[in-house]
Amino acid sequence: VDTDRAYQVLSRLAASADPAATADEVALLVERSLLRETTRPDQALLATAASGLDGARSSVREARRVLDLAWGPRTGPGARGAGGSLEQAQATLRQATDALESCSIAQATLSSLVSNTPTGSFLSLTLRGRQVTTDLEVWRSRFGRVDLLESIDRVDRLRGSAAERIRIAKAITDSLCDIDQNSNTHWGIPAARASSLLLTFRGGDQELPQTIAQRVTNLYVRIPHPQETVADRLLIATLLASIDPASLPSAGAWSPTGGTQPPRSFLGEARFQWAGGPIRPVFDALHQGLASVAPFSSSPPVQLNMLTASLADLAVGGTAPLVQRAVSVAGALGTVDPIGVACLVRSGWSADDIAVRDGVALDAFQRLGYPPGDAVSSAASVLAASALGTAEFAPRLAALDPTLRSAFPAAPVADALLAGLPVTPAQALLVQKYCVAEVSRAEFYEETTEVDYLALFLTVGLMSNDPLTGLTAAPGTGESPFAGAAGASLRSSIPPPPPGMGAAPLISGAAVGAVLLPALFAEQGFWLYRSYLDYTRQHPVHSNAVPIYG
Amino acid sequence: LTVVPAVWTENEALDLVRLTDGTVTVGNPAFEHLWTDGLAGAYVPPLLWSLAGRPPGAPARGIRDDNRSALLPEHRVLVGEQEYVVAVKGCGARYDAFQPRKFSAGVLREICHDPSVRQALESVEEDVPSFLVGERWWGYAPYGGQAADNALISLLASLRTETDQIAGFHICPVVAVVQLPTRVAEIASRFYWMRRYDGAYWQEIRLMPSNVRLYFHSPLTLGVDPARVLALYRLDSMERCAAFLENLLASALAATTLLARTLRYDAERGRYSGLDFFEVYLDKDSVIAENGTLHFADLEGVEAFYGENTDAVKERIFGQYYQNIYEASYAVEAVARATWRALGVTASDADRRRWTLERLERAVAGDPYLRVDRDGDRLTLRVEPAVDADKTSIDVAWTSG
Repeated sequence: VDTDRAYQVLSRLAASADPAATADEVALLVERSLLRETTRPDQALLATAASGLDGARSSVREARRVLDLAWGPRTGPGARGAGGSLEQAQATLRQATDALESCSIAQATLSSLVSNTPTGSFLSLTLRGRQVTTDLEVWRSRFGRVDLLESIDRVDRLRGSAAERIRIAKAITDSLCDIDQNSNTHWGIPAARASSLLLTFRGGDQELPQTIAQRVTNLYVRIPHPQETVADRLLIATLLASIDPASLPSAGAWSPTGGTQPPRSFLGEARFQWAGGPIRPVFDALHQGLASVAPFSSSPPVQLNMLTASLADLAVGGTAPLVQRAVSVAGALGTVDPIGVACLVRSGWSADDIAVRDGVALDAFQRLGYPPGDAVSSAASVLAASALGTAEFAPRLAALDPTLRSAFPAAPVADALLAGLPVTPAQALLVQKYCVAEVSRAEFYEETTEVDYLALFLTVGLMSNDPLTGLTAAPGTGESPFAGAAGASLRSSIPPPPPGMGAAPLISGAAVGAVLLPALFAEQGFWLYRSYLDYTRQHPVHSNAVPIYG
Repeated sequence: LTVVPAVWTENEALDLVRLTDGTVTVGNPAFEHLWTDGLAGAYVPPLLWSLAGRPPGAPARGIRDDNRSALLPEHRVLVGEQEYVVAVKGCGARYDAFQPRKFSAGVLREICHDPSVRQALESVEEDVPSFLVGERWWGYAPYGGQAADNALISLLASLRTETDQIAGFHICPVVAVVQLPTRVAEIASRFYWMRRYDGAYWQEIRLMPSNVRLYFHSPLTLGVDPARVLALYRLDSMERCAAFLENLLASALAATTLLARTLRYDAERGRYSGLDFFEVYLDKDSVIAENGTLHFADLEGVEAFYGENTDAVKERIFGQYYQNIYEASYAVEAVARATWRALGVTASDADRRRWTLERLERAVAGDPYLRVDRDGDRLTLRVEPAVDADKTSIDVAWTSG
């Protein structure tokens, strides 16, 4: 069955209108558990069974009234009745309740039936049918004229991919929490959860959750700057740990200038070496390179560290062009904000383009009523870095903002992240809903209010890889959690970087650095609310209960 | 018989000492059979027991519930098909009444007005998981404990039924109320911040189907963590979720129409009476059973309303419904949304609203005090009180459409 035709049948049924489906169409949709078919004689039986509903309802009500009136205080006004007819009323109630239940079920089934003229039978949607109707309403325009089964398969793969990412993220979280219990990291479970989810979009292959968690830990404990919060440090460690190991040069073989190692090691003396090679010299060289030039020479240490971590994967091919690009982007933006610079360094836009696009994006946010500030500034950069034409900024934001504004304190960042995806705003919101369902169902959260943030990471990660086009398979389910998530299959929604910059390892960077980085920043702000929430839930001193706690 | 199991979510373990000597008990005859050697008595914090001279007592282990209560999961009983856990209300608080900090020996030394008792606190462990103090708190109750009148009002409300519901309004029945031994009360009364409580110290021993409240005062609440409540209650199919929601709707609507259900006419005095809520609220004072049935726990605020005429009755039925319906419908919406999320039917908000209205229609189909009038997304409830329905019925809105 053609997808458009199937949608027509299903949506008419959802609206209780005659779907005019042929016998073959009905048979296929029933076979796929999207419909139930009821013959005319069966429908007549249901109608007969349901006809006793009013009588059964009256019997139950009357019997309960008799019973309720028979009870009350032992003495005084409204004292108990004589109770002589109690047993009879109880027996009546039991019988009438059974009858009411049967009639109600028959009536509910009957009211869901819709007559289908070509077959002379009655049809009703199943739960699965409702899900598919919703999916097709949003996605069918993207699928084009394909078979219904192919459409269903594509959406199922998208949903399955979300579920699988969460399964892997849970495994990494468990490992991080095991480490947290036995070490001095103190990052806490919510932070570990966010970090783990980002790491499922990392490049690389064939690594176990424990290995990834250990790498995050090795990096985390060697970040020495006291200015950084736990969340900042974990974010830096996560960004570095997400770099595809295979993209790194072999140990001792890399030098940005062909000379000696940088004199000051930001990450201490420990060597971080995994399959491909060490990250430390790469990170140190980039850090050194950025710190030695304006405007980054005057960046706050935390911001500089964050920027370095988010660009480190690009530095494998050499730091000089990367530093030059970062300086150019910062100049165009007029800021050293690590989110903005990191996103735009990776984009293919020239400095002149960046200045124009950032201005248009800022204007679009202003028109939504957002005052200038850090969140709007970062959000504008995210949007400017996308592949969208500037004329699309305002309408896309306007379509997304009413929904996201109520869910995220840093709503402009969420607006920009979803607006920049290679799907329509309606499709982006639907995927966000799928992801909310997956996060909820998997109980991959502590507070309910975490769900939307984690779902946002998942949405952005999934859609940046554009699984609906079939380019990205869900990760495997075997012992190796990343089997099948081969880096080459990942594709960012943003344009490729300028020639000569960064070389190959854009894979993790595209997903983590440019797109998910601002998502995680947005979440960090959210953590501020957590302690407050924990406090109000059990302590008597909250706004309603101070005078009435009992 | 299909038993609905009692459920409770994890919370701090709480050690208590059960005392029998010197206590006064007023019990509910319907639950006299529960008042056995293993349960009967008053439950006090170990430190208070120690400061009171260690009278004869037996150790008891509970799970903290709210700020001044504990569940005793070893004691579970069946009432009809519902299993309940025995709980003690008024067995000591966890938190300082004036600052966001937990009790400790240091805090107690600060508020102790008896030098000899303060001296005794020098040699105790700093952590004090629970304590009962003599601060005159909300109304007339001692902070962490319970006052006689409040406890007895709870018992009186419970005595209106021999089961666990009053005309469809489900309650956490009170088994007994217990006055603490004099010596224990004397010690407790020496601790206060501002205003000393001079009355007797009582407790309620009640039955609870769960410790999951609607929105406040539990580690897990339906309003804050609906998805986790669904997981705890194993609501993993549309059928189970629908049944849960129908029970929640039926019981929540019964709570919001309590006066209509219990309305009686006193011909002697020429006035109407029925049950009403006095400064108790669904969001923090009710718990949700495993099958979705909302049980009202804090019966100390369930008392008689008196109305001189039908207008007064109608006005109060109207007020009671709208005072409580927001909290009830918040819970219903939370469950419906969580169901839709968990089952992956994520995009059809209109479908979800229709589904909820269908659940409501089914939930009150046999309710003798409610009739549904539905037109599309508009749903009105006709409230028909137990007496003089022809003169006291009113219409209230569930949804305006």
